[in-house]
Amino acid sequence: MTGPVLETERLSKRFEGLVAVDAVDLRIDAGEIRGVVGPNGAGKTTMFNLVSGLYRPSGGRIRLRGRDVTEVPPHVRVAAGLGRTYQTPQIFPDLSVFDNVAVGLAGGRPPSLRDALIGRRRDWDVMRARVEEALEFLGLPGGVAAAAGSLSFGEQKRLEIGRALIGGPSVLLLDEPAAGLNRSEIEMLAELIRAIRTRGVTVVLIEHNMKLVMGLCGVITVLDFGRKIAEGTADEVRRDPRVITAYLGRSDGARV
Amino acid sequence: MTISWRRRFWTPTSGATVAALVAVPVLLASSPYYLFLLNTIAVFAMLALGLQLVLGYGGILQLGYAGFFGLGGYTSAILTVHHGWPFPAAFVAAMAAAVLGALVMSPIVRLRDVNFAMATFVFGLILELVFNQWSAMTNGPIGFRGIPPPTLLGLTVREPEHYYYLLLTALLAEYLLIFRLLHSPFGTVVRAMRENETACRTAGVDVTRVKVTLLLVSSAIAGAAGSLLAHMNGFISPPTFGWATSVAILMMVVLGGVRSLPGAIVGAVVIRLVVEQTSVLGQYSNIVFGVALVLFMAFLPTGLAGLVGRLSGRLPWGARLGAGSVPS
Amino acid sequence: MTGTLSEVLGLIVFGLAIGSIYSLVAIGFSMIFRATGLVHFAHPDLMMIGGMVGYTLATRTGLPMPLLFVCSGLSVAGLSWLIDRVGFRPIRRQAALLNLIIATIGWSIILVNVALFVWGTAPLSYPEGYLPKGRLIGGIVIVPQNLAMLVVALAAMVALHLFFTRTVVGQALRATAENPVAAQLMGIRIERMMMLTFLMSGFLAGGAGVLVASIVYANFDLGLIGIKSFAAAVLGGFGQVGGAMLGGLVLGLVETIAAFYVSSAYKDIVAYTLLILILLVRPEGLLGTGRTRPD
Repeated sequence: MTGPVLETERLSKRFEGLVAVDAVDLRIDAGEIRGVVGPNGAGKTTMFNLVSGLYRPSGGRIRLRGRDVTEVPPHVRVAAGLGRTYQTPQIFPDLSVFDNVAVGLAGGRPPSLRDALIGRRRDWDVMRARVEEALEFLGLPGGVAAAAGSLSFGEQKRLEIGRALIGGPSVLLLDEPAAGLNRSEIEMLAELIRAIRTRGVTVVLIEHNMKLVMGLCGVITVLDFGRKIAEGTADEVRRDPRVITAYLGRSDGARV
Repeated sequence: MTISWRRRFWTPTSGATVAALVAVPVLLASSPYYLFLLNTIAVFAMLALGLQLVLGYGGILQLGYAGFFGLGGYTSAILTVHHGWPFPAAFVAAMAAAVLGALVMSPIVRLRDVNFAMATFVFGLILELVFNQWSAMTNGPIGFRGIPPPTLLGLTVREPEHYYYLLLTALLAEYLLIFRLLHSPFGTVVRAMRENETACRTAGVDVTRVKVTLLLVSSAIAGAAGSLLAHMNGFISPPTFGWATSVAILMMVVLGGVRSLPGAIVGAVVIRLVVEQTSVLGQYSNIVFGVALVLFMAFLPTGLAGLVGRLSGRLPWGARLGAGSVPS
Repeated sequence: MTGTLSEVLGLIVFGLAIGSIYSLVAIGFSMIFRATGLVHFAHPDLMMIGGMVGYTLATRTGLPMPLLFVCSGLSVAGLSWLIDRVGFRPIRRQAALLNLIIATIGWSIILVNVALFVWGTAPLSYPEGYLPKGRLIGGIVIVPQNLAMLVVALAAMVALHLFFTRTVVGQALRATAENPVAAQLMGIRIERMMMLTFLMSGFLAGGAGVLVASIVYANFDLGLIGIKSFAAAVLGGFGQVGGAMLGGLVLGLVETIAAFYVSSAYKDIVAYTLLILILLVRPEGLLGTGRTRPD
C-alpha cells in the first residue's frame, strides 16, 4: 500500500475561544509504531477524539488510507480501518469478556435483524472462533464467560485493545495504554504492541511513560499547547531544545 | 454467565410454563368473564414485552407507546370494516402502519435521551389527538364499532377460548422472536449500547441504526397487538390508546423489572388485575394507584424480577433499577 | 381596516398571553430538569392546583388578581417543595432517573385525585369580576386581562432573567444546574439550590394556574393544558430556560391563530403537527443543544 495510513492536514479544534489543537499535520506510514507525547493539556487526547470522530474539527482534514474521513461518522471510520482505546478502559462491565470483544465485530459486519433471526450456525461459529482467537492473543483465554467488570485493571485494558483489534483495523490508536500498569504489565504491553505491529497493524500511542515510548516508537511526535513542536526519532526528540523547554516548564509560570 | 449466543429458549421451566398456559382455558371453561380478562391480559403482555425490548434492553425511553397500539388497531379496523380486507392482510397492514409511524418519528433518535423521551411523549399526544379528531376515519371520541372477528384459514375466531389460543400463539411467537434477537450478536450490541454508548461507537457500532431497528420492531409489535385487540372486542375508542395506557404499559415493564422478559409478562398480569379489581374501590382506586406507584419506586425499584433476584441471592440488595438504562 | 387590525392585534395579544402562561410552566419544568435532571410529570398538575386554590381564594376572599397570583404561587411553591422533600429527596441518591420520573407520574395521579376529592368533578368558573372582558379603547377592542397576563408573565420572565444573571443566588443556581459536582466543590449547597428550584418553579406554576383558570375554568383536568407546556419546552429546546420561554410563546401564538383561521377543534393538532415538523427538521428544538455528537 502506498501513501500514509493515517494523515491529518492542518487539523484544528477550538472550544469557545480555547484552541485545543492548532493546525497539526501528521503523516503516519504503514507499519509504524508512532508515539505522541507532550505535557498535560497539549491536546493529545483531543487529537485522538478528532481522528476517531468523537469531535468535529474546527478546521483541517483527516485521511485514512487515502480516504478523506473528515465528515464521516465514527462507526464508518471503524469500518474504514480505525481502532481506538481510551485512557480509562471503556468496556461493558456487566457483559461477559466474550461479549465485550464480540462487539468489536460490529464494524465489519453490522449486526442485523435478519442475521439474528435467520442466523446460520456456521457464521456464528466463525465469529466465535475469531473472538476466542483474539482473547488468546491478548492473554485472556481463561475467563471467557466472566463479567468484564471483575477483571483487573490491566486485564480490562487488554480487553479493550482486543475489542479494537478484532475489527481488523489498519491503524490502532492507544490512549495512554501504560497508565495504571505495574512494571511487568508494562513489559507485557510492549510485547503486545510489537506483536500487533507484526500482524500488520500500525500503532499510534499517546504516552507519558518515556521509557516505553523511546523503546517502542520509531518516530515520536511532540505536541504542546495544541501545536506540533517536534517530530523525529527518540534521540532527535530527546535532544530538541523546544521539547526540553515544554516539559521542564518556562519562566512564565507553571502550566495548569 | 454463559455466552449470550448460546442460551436456549426451551428449558424444562419454559416448557412447563407453556404447557400450563395452554391448559388454562380448560380450567376456566365455565367462566367467560375470566377468559375475557385473560385475553385482555394477553394483549397487554404483548405490549409489555414490546416495550421491554425497547426500554428495558435498549434503554430508549419510549413514552408514546400506546399511540402505535392505536395505529395498529385503527388501521386493522378501517381496512376490514370500510374496505373489506381479510383479517390476515389487515393484521399485516396494522403492523406496517405502526412501523411507518415509527419511521416518521425516527429522525428524533439522534437526540440525547431526555429530549428523545419528550419527543416520543409529544408524538404519543399527537396520535391520541388524531384518533380523537379525525372523525372521518376513526369515528372520533364515540369509537369505532362493528369490527368483525378475525377469520384465519377459513375459520372465524369468535369464542373467547379460541381467541385465547390465537393470542397465546401470537404472544409465544413474539417472545421467541425477542428472545432470539437478544441472544444473537445483535442482542449483544443492544446490551452493550445500554452500558456504554461511546464505547459502542468506538467499536464501530452504528448506534442510530440499532436504536431505530429496536424502535421499529417494538412498534410492529404494538401494531399487531392493536389489531388483535380491535378484532377481539369488536370496538375501539381513543382513550384506550392515550397517555394513560402508555403509562400503564410503562408500569408493567417497571413492575416486572426492566431487563426481564418473564417479568414484563408478570407485570402485565399484575397491573391488569389491579386495574380490574381496584375499580371496586371506586373513587379511591386511582389515588391508591398513585401512592402505590410512588412507594414502589422508592422501595422496590428493580421490580418484581429484582425482588426475585435478591431473594435468590443473585442480586445485591442495593441494586438500582436502570443503572445504565438511561445513559447520560 | 381598523376592524381587521384590531382583530389581528387581539389575536396576537391573546396568543402571546396564552403562550406566556405556557412559558411560565415550561420554564419551571426546564429549571427542574436543568437542576436535577428530572422530568417532572407532576408539574402541570401543580399548575392545576394553583388554579383550584385561586378559585377558592377568589370566591372566599375576593382578593384582586395580582394577590391571587402571588398567594396561589406561594401555596403551590410550598406544595412543590413538599413533594420534592417527601418524594424525591430521600431517594435521590439511590434511585436511578427512570424511577424518579415514574414516581413523578405517580404524584401526578395523586394530585389529580386530590383535586377531584376536594373540588369535585364539575368545572368551576371564577367569579364575574375576574373574567376577561373586552373594552373598546381608541376604537380597538382590547381585553385588559390578556394584556395584564402578558405583562405579568413577561415581568416574571424578566425578573427571572435578572435573578439568574445578576444575583449571587441566581448564579449559584445556574452553576448547580450546569455542573453539580463542581458547584459543590465551590461551596454551593446543592440541596438548597434544588429546594430553591422547586420553590420557584412551583410559584410560577401556581401563578400560571390562576391565570389560566380565570380565562378557562378551574378543574382537575387543567393539567392537560399544562401538558402543552411540555410540548412548548420541547419545541424551544428541552432544558433551555430561554427555549422554554420562546417555545411557550410560539405555541400560544400558533394555537390561537390556528383556532381562528382553521378551526377551534383542530387547533391542537395543527399546533402539535407543527411541533413535530420542527422537531423532525431540528430535533433539538429551536434553541436546544441536545444532539448526541458534541458540537
